[in-house]
Amino acid sequence: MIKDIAYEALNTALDGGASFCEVRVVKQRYQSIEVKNELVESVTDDVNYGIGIRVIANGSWGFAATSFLEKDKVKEVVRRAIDIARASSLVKKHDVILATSPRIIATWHNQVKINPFDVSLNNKISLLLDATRIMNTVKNIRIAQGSMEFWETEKFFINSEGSEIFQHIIESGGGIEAYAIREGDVQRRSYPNSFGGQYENRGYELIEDIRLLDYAQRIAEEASALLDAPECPSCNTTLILDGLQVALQVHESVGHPTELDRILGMEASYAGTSFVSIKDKGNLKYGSKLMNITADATLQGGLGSFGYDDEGTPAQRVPIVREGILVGFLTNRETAYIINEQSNGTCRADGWENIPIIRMTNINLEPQEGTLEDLIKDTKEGIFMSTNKSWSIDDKRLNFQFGLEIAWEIKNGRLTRILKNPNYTGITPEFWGSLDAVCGPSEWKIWGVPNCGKGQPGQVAHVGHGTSPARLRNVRIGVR
Amino acid sequence: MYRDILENIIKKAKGIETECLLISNNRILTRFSNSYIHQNTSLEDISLSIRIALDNRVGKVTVNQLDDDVIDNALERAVEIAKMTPPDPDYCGLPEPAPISFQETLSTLDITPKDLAERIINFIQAAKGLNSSGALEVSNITLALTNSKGINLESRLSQVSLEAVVQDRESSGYAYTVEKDIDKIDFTLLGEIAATKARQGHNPIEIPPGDYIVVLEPQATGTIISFLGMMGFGAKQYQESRSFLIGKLGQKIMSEAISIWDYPSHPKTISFPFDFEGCPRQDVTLIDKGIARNLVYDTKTAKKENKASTGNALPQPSTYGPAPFNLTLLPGEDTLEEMISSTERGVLVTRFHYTNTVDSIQTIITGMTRDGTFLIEDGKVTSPIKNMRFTQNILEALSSVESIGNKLHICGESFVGPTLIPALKVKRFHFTGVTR
Repeated sequence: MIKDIAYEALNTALDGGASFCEVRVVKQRYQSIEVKNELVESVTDDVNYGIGIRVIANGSWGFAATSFLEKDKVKEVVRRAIDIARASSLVKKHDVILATSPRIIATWHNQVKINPFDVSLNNKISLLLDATRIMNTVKNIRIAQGSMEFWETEKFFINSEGSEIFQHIIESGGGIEAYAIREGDVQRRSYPNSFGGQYENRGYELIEDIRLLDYAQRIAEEASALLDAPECPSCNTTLILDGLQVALQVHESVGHPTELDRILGMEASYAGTSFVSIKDKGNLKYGSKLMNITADATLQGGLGSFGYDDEGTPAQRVPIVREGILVGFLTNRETAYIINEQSNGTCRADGWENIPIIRMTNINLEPQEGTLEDLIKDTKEGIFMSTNKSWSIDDKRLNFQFGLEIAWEIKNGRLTRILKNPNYTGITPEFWGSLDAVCGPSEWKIWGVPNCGKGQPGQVAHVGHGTSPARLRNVRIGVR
Repeated sequence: MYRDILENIIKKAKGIETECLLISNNRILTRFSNSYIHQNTSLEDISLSIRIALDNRVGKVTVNQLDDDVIDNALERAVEIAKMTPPDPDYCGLPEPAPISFQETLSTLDITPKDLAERIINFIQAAKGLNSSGALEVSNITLALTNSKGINLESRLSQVSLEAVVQDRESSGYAYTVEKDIDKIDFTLLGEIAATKARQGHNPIEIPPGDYIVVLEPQATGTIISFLGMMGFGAKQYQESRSFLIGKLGQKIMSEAISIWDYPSHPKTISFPFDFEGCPRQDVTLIDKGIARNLVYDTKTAKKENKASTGNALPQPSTYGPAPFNLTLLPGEDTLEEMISSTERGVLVTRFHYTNTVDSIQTIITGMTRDGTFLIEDGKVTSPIKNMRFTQNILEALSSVESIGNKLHICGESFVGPTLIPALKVKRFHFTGVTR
């Protein structure tokens, strides 16, 4: 039935004068569980379903979407998409031309061992309650919380160039947080990452692998210890970041500025533009020779992985920075045509209700060698910071400031005292230019970011970053 | 009307404590960049949440279809979830009906994509060849809420918003507005304002980080007030000791020139007359002449303190708790021009970008200036300056307020509902970095 409606929409668009049309029917189930201080705060279960139709008519884009899937209604929405495209053409400079893309007939699904929607709610709740119980035994812990989120997405895509793609993707995420509170000081520690934990394109096996109960005590004790820790000093020093924070650093200062729509000014009024320009490709020194950034949507388990993007372009592995030089952008069909290339498959939409735009896939800092332990041993003096707490970066993605949950002072190759409220700041190319060590494959992990915001109306994308701990020299820390 | 559908669900629940929340959204959003329309979208969607409680065990299911089988299935699943969920000892039941204190007009904006394109042409032409980007959005939102205690409400809200940036090579200017009627928006004037600021921004100089007097235009002030609003006026944050107001209620915590309300009845703001559990929205004085006075409550947090809800519930259950929806910084007497002319040396800020919390208890935030930052010398704007990073304690900034603007503007950066904010002059504001 869905297939029939989708093709009817496509044919209605072409009959109505569209020169190009793509149709996406998306059904998504979402479950979230939030537990706080040994009590369930909320359990929600959502099912969301609808159709989005994007057309080119009179050389301009139009898009309309509805959750009402009756045939007549869908036809009305198609006509609305065409009307919108014609309205767009009243304010155009040139016709939209898309880079060519192969015709694809395919189905794709990610690898899942345990479907999270088959796991009983009782088991999920019990695990989180147990984790908060452990954290609550630690002194000064006033808030102990845990959460899990699961998505099951079915997407049916067709376009007027003959592609027909069905994808089925399951994503899972979970984590715990401990808040130590005393006399106006609130200190938080999270595991395995902040803002909800770790997220991957996997099933419930992710929740089993992250072993929340094994880490609950440790993070609660660290949060409590932070209350008595001294403030992170204000100075310029050698900085080692854990993989979690390197992931967010890559996200904000490499992922977003290399999105070609931003570079071309298409996000200027909202998220901003980029310090990178088209002519920088092959020329711009983005960082040190140790900096190798790859956009890779083909990695198994990465939150930014898929079979085909929402224009039907196959998932790809693409170099963005090689030995510190910018060599590529994230593109879709529209922007790739402008630079005389093919799309590298990064165009995704948040649900059926939004247009696809350029989104990060898994944007990775390729590993070098050694362990975190080796790196700390190799550092005479500096600071090791872990787990993001806050982020901010300017509209061209140059001046950034990140806050973290915890830091340790490094003296003569050893971690010494804990420091509270650590943060650091920098300018993107200078910061990456000071990169002098990246840990090896044993420390490399794809961290999921489930809350990447972009576009108007706002869209949320699930993206990933494969990273390992890294060392940077002469970084300004302790901004106050 | 959706109320009939929701009432029918209550009947189907056969005496189980049930709440139905429906939000429908019909929206057209036209986006332009490089002075042409590059994205143009429309959406019609519905979200129906069914929340039920069985012996203090709560289950909730959300769907976006209204077919009988979908609704029946959602109700069944909500009951299943409740049965599998441990009882919540703090669950206090659904609220009872209460008189609604003000009525929102039940208007619908019937505007075509062509109408929007024509308004955008006016804006672009006013920018006179400069690079214009922005988003013009029309939305018609219906909020309906029915519960088994007898609440049965439906309200509709329509608004038009424009957010736009005009760029002149490396400099830029900004325009933002929200109205209930598109004809009240002067697109030509807004284009001229943004373009003028962009032209004034050529060849910015760099000034060193440090403490400066700042004149914050309403959009910049709005960012600060919005962040403060999320740091601790909600009763749940306070009850969990996560609020910056812990130990400060009843005390003077900022300049006596400052009064901040949650002000849904203000004629210039836009608000539904009830919150997301059907309680009437109310005006709440949060800061009165510098003194921290009140928190905002939903039913659950109010019961804990033996108080009544102030009508600030987010969709339930909410881990965040209640929040102020319509923050308003009450206006002062000065014009923006007077604030500038009385400044010997300072910084004029159009707006902030990508602001984030550094420490919510200390009320410290960081962010960048954007779309027009200028040096003020001897009472005049003398030069554009490069965008700067600030890291600032909000309470300290609001304790050193020298004057407050006399006009309220709806601001773009807000978390729940629109904020109404004037310009602000602050005697000491801490810049910690400069961008290129």
